[in-house]
Amino acid sequence: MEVTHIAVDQIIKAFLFILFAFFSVFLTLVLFFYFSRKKIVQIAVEKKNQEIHYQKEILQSVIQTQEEERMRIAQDLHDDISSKLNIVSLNTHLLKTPNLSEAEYAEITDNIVSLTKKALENSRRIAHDLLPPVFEKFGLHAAVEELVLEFSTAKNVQINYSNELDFSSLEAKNQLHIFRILQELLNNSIRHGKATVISINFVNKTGRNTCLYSDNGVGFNASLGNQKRGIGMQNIESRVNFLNGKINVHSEINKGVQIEFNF
Amino acid sequence: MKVKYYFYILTFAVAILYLIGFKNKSKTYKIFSLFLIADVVLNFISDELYNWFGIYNHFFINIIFLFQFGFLSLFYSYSFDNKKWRNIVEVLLIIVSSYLIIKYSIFPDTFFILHYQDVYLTIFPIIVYGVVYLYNEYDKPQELYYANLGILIHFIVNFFCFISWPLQSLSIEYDYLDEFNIIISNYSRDLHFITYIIYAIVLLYQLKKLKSK
Repeated sequence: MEVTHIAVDQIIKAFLFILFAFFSVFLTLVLFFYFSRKKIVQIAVEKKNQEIHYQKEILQSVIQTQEEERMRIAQDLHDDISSKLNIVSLNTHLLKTPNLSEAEYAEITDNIVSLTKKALENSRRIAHDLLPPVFEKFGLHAAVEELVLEFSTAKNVQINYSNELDFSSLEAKNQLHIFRILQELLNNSIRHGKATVISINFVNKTGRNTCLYSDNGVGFNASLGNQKRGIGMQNIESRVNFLNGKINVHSEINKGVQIEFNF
Repeated sequence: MKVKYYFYILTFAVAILYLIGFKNKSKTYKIFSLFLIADVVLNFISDELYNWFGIYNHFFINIIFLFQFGFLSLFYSYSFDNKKWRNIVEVLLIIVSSYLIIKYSIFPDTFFILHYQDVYLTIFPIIVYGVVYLYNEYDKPQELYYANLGILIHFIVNFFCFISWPLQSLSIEYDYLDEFNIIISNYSRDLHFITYIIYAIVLLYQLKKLKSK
C-alpha cells in the first residue's frame, strides 16, 4: 500500500512536470508566432514605405525632367525662333518706310526670306529633337538607326547597332520609352563617359526581349547605388518600370558601362 | 547489425561532412561542426556503456546534457547579433552549469539519476535560443538557419522523450500501468529514431545550401 502511494505521488509529480514542460514549449512557440507576425507586418509596412518613397522619387524626377525640358524648349524657341521672327517683324516694318529704293527693298525682302527659312529650319530641328518623324512613320528600329547615325556623325563615336527583335508587336508608347532610354544612355556615354565605342544589341534572352547596351567609357562605381544616381538614370529606371522590365547596370571605374534591360 | 547503428553511421557521416573545409568557415560553423561530431561520439559511448562495462548510462546522459547545453549555448552566443540575447545566453550558461556541477558535487547520488528538472534546465533554454535564432532570420539571413531548424525539432522531441522518462521508468505493480509505460517507451523510441532521420536530412540540406553559396 505504501509503495502504491509513493508511485501515485511520483506519477502525479511527473505528469505535472510534463504538463509544465508542454506549457513552456507551447508558450515559447506561441510567443514566437506572435512576434513573427508582428515582424512580418513591420517588414511589409517598411517595404510599402520604401515603395512609396521610390514612387515619390520617380515622380520628383519626372517633374524635374519635365521642367528642364520646358526650359530647354523655351530657350530653343527664344534663341532660334523668336529672335529671328523679331528681326523678320522689324524688317517687315521697314518695308512700310516710304521712299525705299529698289535695292533697299530687295535687301530687306532677302533678309526676311533668309530669316524665315532659318526660323523654319530651327523649328523643324526642335520638333525633330522632341520626336523624330521617322519614329512615327517607320517605328523604333528605323528611329534607333537614325539616332545611331546622328550620334556617329555628330559626336565622332563608333556605334554598333544590331537588332534581332520585331518591334511591331510593341505598343507605340513602349517603343517611345525604349527610344528615350537609348537617347539618354547615348547622351550619358558621350557626355559623362567620354566613350568612343558603343554597342546596342536587341536580343531575345530566355524568352524576353532584351536590350544589351555597353560602352568603353570611363565608367562609374555602380556599387554606390542610389546615392550617386542622377536624374537621367532615375528616368531610365522608371521607364524600364513602365515597360514591366528589369534593368541591370554594371560598371567599374575605367571599365565602361554594361547595361541590360528587358521589356 | 542493429538499426541504431545505422543511425550512428548516418549522423557520424553528416558530422564528418560538416568538418570538411571547416577551417575556412565562421566561428559559429566551427562550433557547430565540433558539436555534431562530439555529440555523435558521446551518444554512441552512452549507448554502448552497458554492453562494454555493464553499467547504466544515466550519469553519462547527464554529462551529454551538460555538454550539449554548453556547446550550443556557445554556438547561439556567437550567432546572436543582439547584445541583450548574447548576455542572456552567457549568464544562463554560467548559472545552469554552476548549479548542476555544484549539485552533483554536493549530492553525488543525483549525478547517477536522470532527473527531469535537469533535463528541463539544459534542454529548454536551447529550444528558446533556437526559436530566437529563427526569429532573427527576419532581420538578417542566418548562416545555419536549416541546421537550427533541425536542432529545434531534435531538441523538442528529445525534451519530451527525456522529460517523460521518469514516468516510463516507474516500477509499478499494476499491470495496466506497466503496459502504459511500455507503450510510452516504444513511442518515445520510434519518435526518437524518426527525428534522428529528419535531423540528419535537414543537416544535409543545410550543407547543400552552404555549398551552393
